[in-house]
Amino acid sequence: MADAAANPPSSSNPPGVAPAAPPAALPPAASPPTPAAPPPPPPPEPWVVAVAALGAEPQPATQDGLAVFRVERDAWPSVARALRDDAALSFEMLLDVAGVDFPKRRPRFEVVYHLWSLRHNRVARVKVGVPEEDPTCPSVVDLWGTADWHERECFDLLGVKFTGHPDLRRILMPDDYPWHPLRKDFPVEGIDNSISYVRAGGVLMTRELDVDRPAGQDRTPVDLSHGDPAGFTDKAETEGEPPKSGGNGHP
Amino acid sequence: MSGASDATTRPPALSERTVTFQDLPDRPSDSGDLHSERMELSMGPQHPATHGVLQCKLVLDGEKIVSLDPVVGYLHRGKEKHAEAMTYQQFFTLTDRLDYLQPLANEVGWALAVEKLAKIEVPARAQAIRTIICEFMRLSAHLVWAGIGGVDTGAVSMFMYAFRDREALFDLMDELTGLRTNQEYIRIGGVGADLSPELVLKMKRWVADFPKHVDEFELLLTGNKIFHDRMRGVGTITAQQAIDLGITGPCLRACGVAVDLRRARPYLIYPQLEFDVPVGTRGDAYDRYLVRIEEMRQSAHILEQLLDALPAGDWIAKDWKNVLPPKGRVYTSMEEMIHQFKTVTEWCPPKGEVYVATEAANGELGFYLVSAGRSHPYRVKIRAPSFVNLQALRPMTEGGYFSDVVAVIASLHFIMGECDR
Amino acid sequence: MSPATETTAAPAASEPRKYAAAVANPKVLRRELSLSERLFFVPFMRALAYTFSRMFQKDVTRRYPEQKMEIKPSLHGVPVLVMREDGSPRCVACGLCEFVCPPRAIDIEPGETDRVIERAPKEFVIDMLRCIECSYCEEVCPEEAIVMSTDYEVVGRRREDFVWDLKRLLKPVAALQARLEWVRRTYKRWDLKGENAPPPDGVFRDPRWAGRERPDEHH
Repeated sequence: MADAAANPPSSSNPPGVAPAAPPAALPPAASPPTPAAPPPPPPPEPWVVAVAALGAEPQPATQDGLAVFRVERDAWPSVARALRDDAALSFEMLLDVAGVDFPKRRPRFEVVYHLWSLRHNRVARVKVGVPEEDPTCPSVVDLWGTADWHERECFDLLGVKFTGHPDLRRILMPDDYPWHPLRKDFPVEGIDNSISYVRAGGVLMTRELDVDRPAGQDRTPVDLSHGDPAGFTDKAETEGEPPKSGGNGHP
Repeated sequence: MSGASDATTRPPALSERTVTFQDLPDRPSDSGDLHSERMELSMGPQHPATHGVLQCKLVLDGEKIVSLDPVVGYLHRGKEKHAEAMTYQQFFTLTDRLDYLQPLANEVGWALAVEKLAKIEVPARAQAIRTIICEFMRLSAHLVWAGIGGVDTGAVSMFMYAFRDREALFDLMDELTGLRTNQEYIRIGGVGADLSPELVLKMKRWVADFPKHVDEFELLLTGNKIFHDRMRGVGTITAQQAIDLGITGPCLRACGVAVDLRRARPYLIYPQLEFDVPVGTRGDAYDRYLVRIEEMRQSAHILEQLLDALPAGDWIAKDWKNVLPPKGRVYTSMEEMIHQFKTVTEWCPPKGEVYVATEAANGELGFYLVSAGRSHPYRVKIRAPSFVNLQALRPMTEGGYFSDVVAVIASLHFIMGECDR
Repeated sequence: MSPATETTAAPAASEPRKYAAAVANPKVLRRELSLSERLFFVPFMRALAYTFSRMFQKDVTRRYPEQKMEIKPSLHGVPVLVMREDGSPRCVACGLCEFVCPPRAIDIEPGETDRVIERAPKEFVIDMLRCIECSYCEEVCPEEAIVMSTDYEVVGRRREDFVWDLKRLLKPVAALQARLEWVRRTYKRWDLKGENAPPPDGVFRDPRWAGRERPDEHH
């Protein structure tokens, strides 16, 4: 523990992955400050070169130091298979499939795969661009069985269809939910398509569900409470004066 | 009231005579063949044994399960969408409620992701306190698993023992953070308050006592033939299947794969700690039970080491560009006041993306955070271990017996809060 | 006697590990039932004896609400506003608590005031049904105007009962001293040594104001 203070314990880079840019030796302090040339980036590791040779384009590393690749959608199935089966790469585990929506970019969607090679203990990030006009992406469920639910979630929340998926249906939202909530054009407040709600005072209202018309338009609330549903409201409270104290005995 | 005129074509109404076996459809034929049909059964979402709101759509052939379709999403609260409208500090309250049995451990995961993105250095004492918190949270989650696992398999008294310990843990958390659960105690750059020496003593006393309590759990369950027969050989999965399904955590280690993120991709101060990683051999529910019990012992061992040698220092970074300045200065000094306002309302990490994962009680809890340089995240994807582990429910139960479903669910120990987010 | 879970060592170190991500020497757990356990009777009686003995041990159940939990100094219940001696709130309606509140429980309408401060809340509403008692509002308040009380049992019969307005939120300073002390100890977060060491009486006096009376000194 004594070296805990000396050794700042921020999260270390995963072993086997080169850090983004190790500083080169600085010029001696005596010389006047000249703008030093930025240190040359370290040569890529052999496995990164191997992945690049498959057709994946290496991207600059971000703050977590993981190796990032961009793969064309059509090349993705073959690249994925090589990533899993090639002995030098051996990405046995698919950790995560995340979809990200960039409405101003072309292609609009980016499906981000995080792969973990248990044999070599490396994590890689692979991005596949999916255009809005044809929001499909090849499924990798026959390579990594875990992709099943991840891809269903990506479809559910973002609308990216995965071709070759055996059972692509919604997973988190109800099956008949008409929208893809995680898209940027879906409002953060949500679109209220509940068919009943409780108005202040405890009165149960209901309304017709019409998915084509957003909430707030042409929805006539219907009072189903028939005046005083059993146990729902206290008639004295809604019609008479509210009680003097706050109701929980506090001043 | 059915009329008496129908007596010739229809049997009399039920109230007029006792119901006999002859009235029921599908009665056995005279030759003795038992006719059965497949039954569709919806188990859940409101069900005491499904560990939250999980719906299992089962097709049963007698007692054997033909197919099981887990339906999730009943606890989906749109956290990833919320993140796009919340600041990084506010999102801690949502991470708390992911795996709600270990709230602070989820917070630590989020804090590590944000700090990696913004390159914030966290002082050694804060990291040590966070490690202590993570291990306490692992104990908290495993204690619930032990209690509920006992209840699910019939050992109801187990629940009380596990929750007695959890109650003591709540009291410790209450003293440290002010709340028993969903504490919102971790801050970007450190933790919310210091760990006082008195509290360290209390924690040490509790940790010293805890292995005896694990012995009590084992006395009740491990050697119990009923429990053993219910769990041994149930829900078996091979290591290859587990890796293919992306399973991590105790469920993977029970298959014999000794992968623990605290050792494989270390974070906090785990490299300096000494602990064993327990693995099973057969990948069945009993091995998952053994692994978690041993993990509880190992967590107690880790806590002993941490509480004995807590480094002195700050419990939050002293970097006023990223952390709220000390209140004393905020009340009286203009610069710190401005920093307070700016940090609360407009703290923006740089553009970029990170994926940071920690070993939660259920497996690898990962945060994939994409930042556009604004005060709220652009995209947060929570890699929830329960979501991924739940996919193992099908291979573990299909072809088995219906009564094993509950044992498998108990041994997988997914938390729907984490699964659905 | 039931066997302990035996552990065996992993294969010899000379054998290459299949996975670099795996630990070199995990604790392999093997546990088979002994003959006595398979016969069930003796272990069952042991466990039963243990459970039976618990009847005569100290009770760990807390019978809430007759027995409440001990209020520790760090406990934070619902937030309340600090009232000065003259009955006005310390709050200057800066809106930081409203901004930081994660469930958006706080709603402030600022207004002008004749007091020496520039703003005061015309309306200050906290919806206690939304409040998750996270204490972020207390942490960000630059005026020690909103602090967490130890009141965690908020009950009501209608939704409106849970919407607390300014009148209901104000509590006199004297009643909140304990929490204010705790806030100062925790959030003031003094540096430990040197010129930033905490002053003996715990009150930070800005040297730039030395010798002058600050108009709104309430610390």
